Amino acid sequence: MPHHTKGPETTGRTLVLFTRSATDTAPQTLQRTAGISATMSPELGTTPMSIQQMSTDGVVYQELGVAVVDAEPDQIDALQAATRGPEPVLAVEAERVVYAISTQEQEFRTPAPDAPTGAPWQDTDHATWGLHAVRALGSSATGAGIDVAILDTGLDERHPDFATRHPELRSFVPGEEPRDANGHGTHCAGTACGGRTVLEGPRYGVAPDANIHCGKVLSDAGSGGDQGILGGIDWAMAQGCDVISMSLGAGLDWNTPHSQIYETVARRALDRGTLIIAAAGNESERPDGLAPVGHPANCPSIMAVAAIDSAEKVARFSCTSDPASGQIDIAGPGVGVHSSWPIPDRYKAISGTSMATPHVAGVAALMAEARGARGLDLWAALMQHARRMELSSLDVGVGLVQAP
Amino acid sequence: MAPDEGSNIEVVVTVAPEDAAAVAGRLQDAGMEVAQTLSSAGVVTGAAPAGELAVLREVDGVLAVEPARDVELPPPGAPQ
Repeated sequence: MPHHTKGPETTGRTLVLFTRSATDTAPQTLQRTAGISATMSPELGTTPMSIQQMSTDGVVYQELGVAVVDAEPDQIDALQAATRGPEPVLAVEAERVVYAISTQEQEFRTPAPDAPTGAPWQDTDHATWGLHAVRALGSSATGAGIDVAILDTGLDERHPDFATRHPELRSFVPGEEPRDANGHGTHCAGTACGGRTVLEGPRYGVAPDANIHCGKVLSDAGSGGDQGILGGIDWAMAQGCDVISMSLGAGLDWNTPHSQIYETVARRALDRGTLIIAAAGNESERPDGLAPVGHPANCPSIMAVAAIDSAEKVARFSCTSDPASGQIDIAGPGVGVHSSWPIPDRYKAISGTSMATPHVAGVAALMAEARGARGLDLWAALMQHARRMELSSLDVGVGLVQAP
Repeated sequence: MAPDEGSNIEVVVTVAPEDAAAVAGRLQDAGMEVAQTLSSAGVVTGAAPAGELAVLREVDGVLAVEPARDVELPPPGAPQ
């Protein structure tokens, strides 16, 4: 970065960033590359001291791997040159002046009224509105090499759009085959992992190259229990799945504590690199009737997904945070979602937080591929990258999930 | 509706994943009918008398015991 750009006010001092392994020898590096004499910060003692009070040109903050130095223009040039060579110098920047943000200054930070938002989104010939809204189409990631489990009503693997995908299928419902005769599971699997080319209509899958694992934990009639769901989670963990998408749950009364069982399992999954994402629930009747996030999405270590519509409003049914016992973490497209359906229908558009959840799971697969992040790191990457919305965080968490 | 204290209900139990098989054996000895031992998640599932959950919670290696829940998808046409 050039050091005389127009922008924030600067102090005249310079920040130098070192590689993590080279902070011990940063004073020597500064001396060798630019003739700057700097002191390690621990030697200063506990009293704050300005550089002017010291006999050196700067201070190295060892824990940060950063030095703050007084440097002449030719010394800054020498440091800049060092960033391009073998020296352990990563970056050189002018130190900025910052101020406490006053209330008055905050008033100037409202976004420009003409800032493009993209909404209302629409299905196009090429792709569904949800894929446009999460920016899946512009992503260089495709989910290749990432294993995604969809725990639902199974999958109709005879669907032509899945013909080349070789999904792993397993039933945890006694007496039922993994094949989906309900439709819900085939729809969710399509949103998360549907392919790049489809037989007809727009593309609907977020992560077209992800490896698909469909665990049937809900019967063809749409019901299931903890034994099958936990069995499905265990199976997905044992298979090394990076992401588990669960468009299922049960509504709760306000102030209901989360399940210790699911929380423990979800934390173990995160520790092993498996992120569990679950639907927040559809029990709200907005604008006036709000219902809290359901089980098991209310567990802190399970990512709870709310639904928005194509105008980027909260879906009227989407559950909200319960400040006492569970919160919404993120939002995804969940109204009028076109995806795969068992043959002979093949396609259907339906709504629910169940439809928002696999959008987030698909983006998680893209993020896992693009960033190499798993578990809590993947959770953090999704949170950091989400687009903030002019909606309550109680309803949409950090905002709309966005592809890397 | 609360089940009768003596009738079996489905239960889910968290245990340390590395000890899952051993704890499942102790749960069986304590009166639980063990259905699955999930050694990746560290969960034992099965059935036990509704009045005996406190006994299972005292079994060595058990972290938590909860009655199993049911989930149900909404009817077609309703938000999913």
